[in-house]
Amino acid sequence: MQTQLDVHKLSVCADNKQILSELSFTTHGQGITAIVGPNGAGKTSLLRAIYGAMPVQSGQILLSGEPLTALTPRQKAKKLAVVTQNNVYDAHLTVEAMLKLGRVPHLSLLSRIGKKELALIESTMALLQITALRSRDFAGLSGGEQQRVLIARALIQEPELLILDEPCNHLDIHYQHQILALLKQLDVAVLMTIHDLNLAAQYAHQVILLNNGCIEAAGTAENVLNKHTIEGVFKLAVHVDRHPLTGAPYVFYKNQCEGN
Amino acid sequence: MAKLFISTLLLLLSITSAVFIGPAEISFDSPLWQTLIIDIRLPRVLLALFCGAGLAVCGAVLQNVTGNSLAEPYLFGVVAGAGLGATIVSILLQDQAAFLLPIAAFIGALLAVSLVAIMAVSSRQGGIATLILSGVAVSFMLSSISQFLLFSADPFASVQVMFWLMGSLARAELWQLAWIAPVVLIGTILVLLVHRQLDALVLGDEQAAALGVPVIKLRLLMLTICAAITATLVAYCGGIAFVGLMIPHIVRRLIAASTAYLIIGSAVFGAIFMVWVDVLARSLFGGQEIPVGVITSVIGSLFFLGLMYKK
Repeated sequence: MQTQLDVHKLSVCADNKQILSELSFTTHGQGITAIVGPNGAGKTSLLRAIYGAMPVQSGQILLSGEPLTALTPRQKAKKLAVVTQNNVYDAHLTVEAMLKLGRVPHLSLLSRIGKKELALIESTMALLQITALRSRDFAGLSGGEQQRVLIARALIQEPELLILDEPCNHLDIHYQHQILALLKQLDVAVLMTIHDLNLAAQYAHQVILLNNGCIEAAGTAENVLNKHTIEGVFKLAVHVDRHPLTGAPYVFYKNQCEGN
Repeated sequence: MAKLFISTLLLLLSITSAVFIGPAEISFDSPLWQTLIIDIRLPRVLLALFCGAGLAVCGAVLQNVTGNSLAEPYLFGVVAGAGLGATIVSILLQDQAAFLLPIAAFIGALLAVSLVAIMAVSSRQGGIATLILSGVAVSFMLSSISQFLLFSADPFASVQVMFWLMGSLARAELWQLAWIAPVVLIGTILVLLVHRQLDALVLGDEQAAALGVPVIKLRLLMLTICAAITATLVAYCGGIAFVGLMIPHIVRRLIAASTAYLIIGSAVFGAIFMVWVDVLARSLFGGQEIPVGVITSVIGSLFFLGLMYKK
């Protein structure tokens, strides 16, 4: 079944400030949809409104035709998994215990984790190359390892849609590319925020550029990431060319002190 | 799993040996055997067991739901509240107070918890910081009222309240266990039922909520269970410090940090610890009893100083 996320005229308001105004977009099928934009554009708020951590003022969010706001938190957790910005460095759980948390929305109070679930955990650990970490303390892992464990935890939730807030923050370039390449190959639809325009261009099949709570441009990286749009939104002189190896658009930033 | 099994064996061993240790030596064929072992020592050992288990489980749960490793069962002013109840009864009824003391202490403890809960719910930010701060404030407020009352009352009441606050299992009787055991057991089972949801809290509130965990309701339920267990224990046994704080720390190191193991481990270790503390309390100075709270405080403070020194 094709996962489809429909966001229709979504408005979000917090502390009497309009954060998102009448935002509409649709994502189709698997692959990465990247939300880019300057600080304070409303990227994280958009994600939080979709997964229900922020009240929706008006508008609709439909996942495969079903309005998300009508679901209970547990029903919602069976359909979409969330990896918030990494802030659990000191969680003292073994990696395996952390991964089992992915089954929380699926299990009733008295049921136990069964063979099928353990097999799912095994295969997901293999997929993310974290099998060797299984009995390590989560708090003792490196940033890249923690991020892979958190993504595995989200996948074990078996969601239709995977939401990630800045999955590449604090990661070195090796892990940035490893994690994005992995997300791209996954069998789920991915919606994520990301700061780096070039990473978005290289891995996302759809890019949404947010500015002041509105969509400035949306579509393929070729359509969205052009000189005119980027300079208008980020107030920075740029040159847009092509990545010599992948052919994706590549943004070069001019040094502001040197002028034009 | 194996470690938990061994600890449980250790607990059973502790119970059987603890009933035979005490100031009075006794042989099996003595006519007093039944009276001393079954009627006097066994209730005490069992009271120590449930007291230690209950306090350690509450400490573990509160440390998890508040995300603060210094959280402990007396965080919400339970002891200060119970102390106020005990003080009022001691002053009003003088030497007839003994029977009513646990009831008054229980009411006082509930008063303290309700005050803290009202503060935390009505405060605009809500959250854990408010809860902890109101706990401290309520504690000091109720203690100062107790101290003022004792200051203006006669010395007998002061002595009675002071000894009660230091904690004792000497008043143990089987009928008390009929109250305490169910409260501790049911509370622990309820906590174990939501062990996965409690584990999810380590991810942070927002991430836990995204896993479908009703974070606020869960936290409120856990606080209520802990308040019920602690108020019951304090009412019968007085203030026994450091058990709820120290035992979960030991269990996290020796057994595991995930909630299911932590809770069961804390119950078993807390029970073993209190059973032996009580043995010390009644046998260290011959016929003279030391309040158990004094012993737990000495061991607890040395434990934490040692922990810090090693770090």
